[in-house]
Amino acid sequence: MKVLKFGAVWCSGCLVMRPKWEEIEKEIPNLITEYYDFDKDKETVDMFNIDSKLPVCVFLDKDNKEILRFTGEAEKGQLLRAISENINK
Amino acid sequence: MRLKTLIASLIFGSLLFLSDIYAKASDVVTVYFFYGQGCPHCAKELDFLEGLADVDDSIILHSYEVYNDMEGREKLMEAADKLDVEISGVPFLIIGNKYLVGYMSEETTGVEIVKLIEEYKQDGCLDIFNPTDTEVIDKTERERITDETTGPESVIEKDAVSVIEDELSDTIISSEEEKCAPSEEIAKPALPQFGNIDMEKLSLPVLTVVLGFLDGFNPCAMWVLLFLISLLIAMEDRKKMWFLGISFIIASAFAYFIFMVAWLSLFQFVGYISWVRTTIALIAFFGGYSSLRKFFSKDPSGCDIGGDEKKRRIFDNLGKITSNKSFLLSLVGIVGLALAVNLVELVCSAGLPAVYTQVLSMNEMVGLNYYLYILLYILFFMLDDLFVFFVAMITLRMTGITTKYVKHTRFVGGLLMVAVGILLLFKPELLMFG
Repeated sequence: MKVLKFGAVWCSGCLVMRPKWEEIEKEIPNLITEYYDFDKDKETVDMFNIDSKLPVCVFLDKDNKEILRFTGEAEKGQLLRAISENINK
Repeated sequence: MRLKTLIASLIFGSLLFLSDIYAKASDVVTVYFFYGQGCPHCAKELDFLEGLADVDDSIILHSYEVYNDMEGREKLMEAADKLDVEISGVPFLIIGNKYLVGYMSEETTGVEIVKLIEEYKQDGCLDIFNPTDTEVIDKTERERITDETTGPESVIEKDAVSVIEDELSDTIISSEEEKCAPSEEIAKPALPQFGNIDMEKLSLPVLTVVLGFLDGFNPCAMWVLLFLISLLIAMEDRKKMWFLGISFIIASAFAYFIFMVAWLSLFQFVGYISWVRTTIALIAFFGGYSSLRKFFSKDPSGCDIGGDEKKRRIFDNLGKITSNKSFLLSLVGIVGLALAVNLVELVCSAGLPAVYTQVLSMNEMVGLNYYLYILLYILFFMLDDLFVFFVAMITLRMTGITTKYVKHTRFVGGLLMVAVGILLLFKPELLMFG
């Protein structure tokens, strides 16, 4: 499983999510995450239909199929739960 | 000889006529009072004036309602024209050609009014609405001229008459200039006393702080600051980083100040017209209702995506400005961009400032105090920007303020706006504090 994080430098909520993700990545070193900038990575942004709110994180399984999506600011606990439930998918 | 007699009779007749006018000026004081329905200061002043008129028969009180009555408003405009002043609100009182703006209390403004009445009784002045009734000349000058023209040794020749007429005319003008030049008295607020805090007087500062703080969470212009910070923290020149960031914040605050002063000036000019106040009341009500709806909706927190092209352009411009080797050009660029962005975002951020300045314009105070209130509003409006900026500059890490607070501010702000809207519509006097 991997997590795609979408954010923008002008989005306050995305900045709030940054330290939360840093902590999660430290706690779960084998978690694969990728960050995409809304303004720079247009191709990926369009591919995942990021068009209403930021930040967004998309959970993908081993076949790169979307299994879960969080739109807006999420709590660290919420994310940890989602990761532990889906990490082996 | 017949000619001399005729001229002397004319002068004597004129002086008798002037003497009669002088007596009228001393006996009758016409007070023109302009008020608005629902304005508590106006109601206090009207009570006071009616009390004065009851005990002093020489006072004739003419009162005009200006919020709803077109004739009253036209009379007020006529007064503004005659006095050559801009009238920004009521209560507005005219005695002779002196006027008084606002009303605080019997002990302060009341004393000023009595003083104006007494001065008018003693000196007389030009009544701006009825000049022929009350034109006067200085009494001693009139006596002097009377003595000169009627004394036994005076020999009146044709040329001398013109001199006397000229002198008389000059006397009237100089007397008018000295005593009757239009002058303004502004009701001065009494200084607050320690240990006797008046909650009514606290209401406007509290409203200012709360609305300014809530307005600060409006994300309209925050994204530009975040753009800028992302570029600044990557810079090697720390001094330039601080200087450009602070310049941007000051320029943004200045643009907002100018914008709010413009709103205030508009409302001081037309804010007492009932349909203008009704429009602002409806904006407040529906703006508040929309905020409350958003609060109760299941919309996720986060930043709305939109205006990509505009953001892209501003980001590119910021990049060029901050990377410019000339410090001066960077500074000019950043200030220009801050002003431009705040102007572009005017529509987005118009709601709360418009409602606040409407309320502010309804509160009578000394001119400078209006601007101090706007500065207080802007200080609290900028608090979140200052927090984000200083934390980022000190830690060299970008920090955001959680968008979850935006939802909470929508709730509080929405409730406040709905309340202000209802009050503006039905009980505007409750928004006139102090």
